[in-house]
Amino acid sequence: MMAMLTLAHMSKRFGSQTILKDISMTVNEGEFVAIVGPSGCGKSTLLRLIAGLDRPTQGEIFIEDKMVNLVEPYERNIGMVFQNYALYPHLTIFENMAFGLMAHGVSKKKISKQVDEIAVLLELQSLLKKRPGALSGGQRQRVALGRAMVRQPRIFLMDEPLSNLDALLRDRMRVELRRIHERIGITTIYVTHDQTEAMTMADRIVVMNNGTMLQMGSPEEIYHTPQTTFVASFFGSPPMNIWRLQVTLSDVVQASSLQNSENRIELPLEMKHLWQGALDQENCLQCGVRPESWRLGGEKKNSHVMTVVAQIERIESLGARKIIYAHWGEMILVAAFPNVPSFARNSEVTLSVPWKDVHWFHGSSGEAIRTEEKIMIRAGGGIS
Amino acid sequence: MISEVSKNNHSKIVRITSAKLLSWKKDGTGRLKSTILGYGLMLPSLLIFSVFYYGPAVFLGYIAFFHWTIFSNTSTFVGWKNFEILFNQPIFWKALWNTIYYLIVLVPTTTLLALGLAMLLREAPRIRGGGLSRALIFLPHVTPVVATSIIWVWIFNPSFGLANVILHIFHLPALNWLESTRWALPSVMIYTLWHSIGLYTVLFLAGLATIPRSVLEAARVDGAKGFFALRKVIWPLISPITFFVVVLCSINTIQTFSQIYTLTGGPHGGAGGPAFSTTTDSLLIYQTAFMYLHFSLAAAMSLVLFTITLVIIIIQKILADRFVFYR
Repeated sequence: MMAMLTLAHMSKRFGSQTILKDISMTVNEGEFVAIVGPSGCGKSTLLRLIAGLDRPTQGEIFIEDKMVNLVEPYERNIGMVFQNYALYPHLTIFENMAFGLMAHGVSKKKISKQVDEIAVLLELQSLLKKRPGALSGGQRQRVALGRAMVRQPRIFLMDEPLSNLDALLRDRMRVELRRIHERIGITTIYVTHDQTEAMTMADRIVVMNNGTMLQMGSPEEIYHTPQTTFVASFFGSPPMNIWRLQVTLSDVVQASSLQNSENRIELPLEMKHLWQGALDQENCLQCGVRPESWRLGGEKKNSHVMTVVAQIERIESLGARKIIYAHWGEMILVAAFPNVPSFARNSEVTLSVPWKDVHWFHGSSGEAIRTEEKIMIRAGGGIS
Repeated sequence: MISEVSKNNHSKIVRITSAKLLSWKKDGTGRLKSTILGYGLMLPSLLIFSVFYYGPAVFLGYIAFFHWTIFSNTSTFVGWKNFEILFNQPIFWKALWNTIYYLIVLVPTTTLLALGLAMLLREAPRIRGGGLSRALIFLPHVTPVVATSIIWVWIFNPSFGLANVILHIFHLPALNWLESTRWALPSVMIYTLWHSIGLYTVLFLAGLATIPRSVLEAARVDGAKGFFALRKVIWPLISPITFFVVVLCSINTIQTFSQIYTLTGGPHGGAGGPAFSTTTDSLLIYQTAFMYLHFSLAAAMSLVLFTITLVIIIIQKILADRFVFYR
């Protein structure tokens, strides 16, 4: 597959402030890539650099193997959808969509043919004579999309295009955008702060925080093998339980245990290679469990599972599933269950999770401990 | 006002207070009461305006149709006679032509130049010390016209003025400026441009600041460059400000008096010269009334000038309705 867009060691500084640090990535032709992160993480700046609205302080941008650092936006063959749509308020919808072609001196006949084509695709025919002020949010959104499409760009850049829509419309447009992408197959870079949008729409996701790129991968990779605690907690709702726990070597031969101040869990010896790499100077590591991974019940003698006993504090019922907030010692535990019998507040509940579903992160840096082999646990291995 | 509050039910306290106020009357009379209060508050300024503004304006309409002098208590009705005399005076037509010439050159020049300066200064605050450029461009406008006009008399001095030095630098022939019948009025225009451009530039800057940044960026992505972007995106979006600038500039231009009077030697009795080349309507009205003491004639001239101003603004309004886009 051909590389449509390549960013090489790109940085951006405004004065003494560093907005982006050493960003490198490759986007293939036809791919739908979502850039996700909290507000202020630099994702919009990154999009503006790709668009050519700002220049990088360091590093290079390649579009189809051509270095475009100094190329003006309109020569980069991109179409951009802005967060607030940025339609020309004084022009009709037709003129809005035709504007780019008009600026390039395309003949009137060709303009109207191209605009009509896109108008049909986006069901905008009846709106062409209106002005943006007379349109609803969803319609403006489609016009912004149409304006970007008319010039047949090689890359689509979208800056939080759905964030100004109400929840219901957002869900519909999400499906719509994805459908359009599948039909015309233009490489798309999509900036959003909404992890659901990223998970449901993108082929690949780029996760950013504080101007650095934390991870790039498919939604499954991001969800199942997050590389840092930030990525782990950013994706999934409710977010992953991440606890900083101390490892104490109670008996060198026998076992080690994970503990917070009140509880202790014996660690299977076989997992030593995992937690050893995760320990920081205080002998701590971070251990993560997705709320969905918890099972009800569990036996302490079973070495395949980590078992905890927690105090239920609050229960949220979302219809199809229940979310439990509980105390495990001083730690907060969140668990999600589909269709389970009712829980009582303040009661004790025993929960367990297979060791193989536990994520391990370094105690202070929060980086994931990678291991290819899944944890093998010998039958009868010690968990007390 | 009070009834509005009672309708909104914002808080119990407001409701109780307003209910108390209105308890003795129905809602309708409450509105009447607030109307009376409103006019009451306007009364002081209304009085001042009446004595010094509306009163004289009405009186002007009266004496334009009478033979009236400041030295006698009697005045005789003469109908359109004053206008007849006026239209038979070559100097009236000369002044009218000067006014229109002055207007037609100055208004478009000022508007375009102010827009151009505003476009240049738009990004200035982003560079260090750039904010100062706005203050500097506005500075001439806060100087007193009479004082700076006297400085410009020296600038326009044909023998050792700065204006001719600049022409000399560009290898252009020296001009007699205020002493030539051809260049005297353009000299006044140059001064007026210098004095007023700051105001209009600041107005345009305020207009430009209302254009959303993302719309300009969208135009950049669409490939709209330079003049195309200005004509198709920027100017339409600041068309209300442009309309305002054109109207304001037209009115100010028609009313120009101080700089003509001072630049052309008013204190020495030569205002409007040489050979009436800078005699505009406002100057002629002043001279007719206060130098030759033909008050009725000056009043008739004022009415004519008022009508012309009104017609120009109506034309501008009609054009504006076609070209101005209000967001």
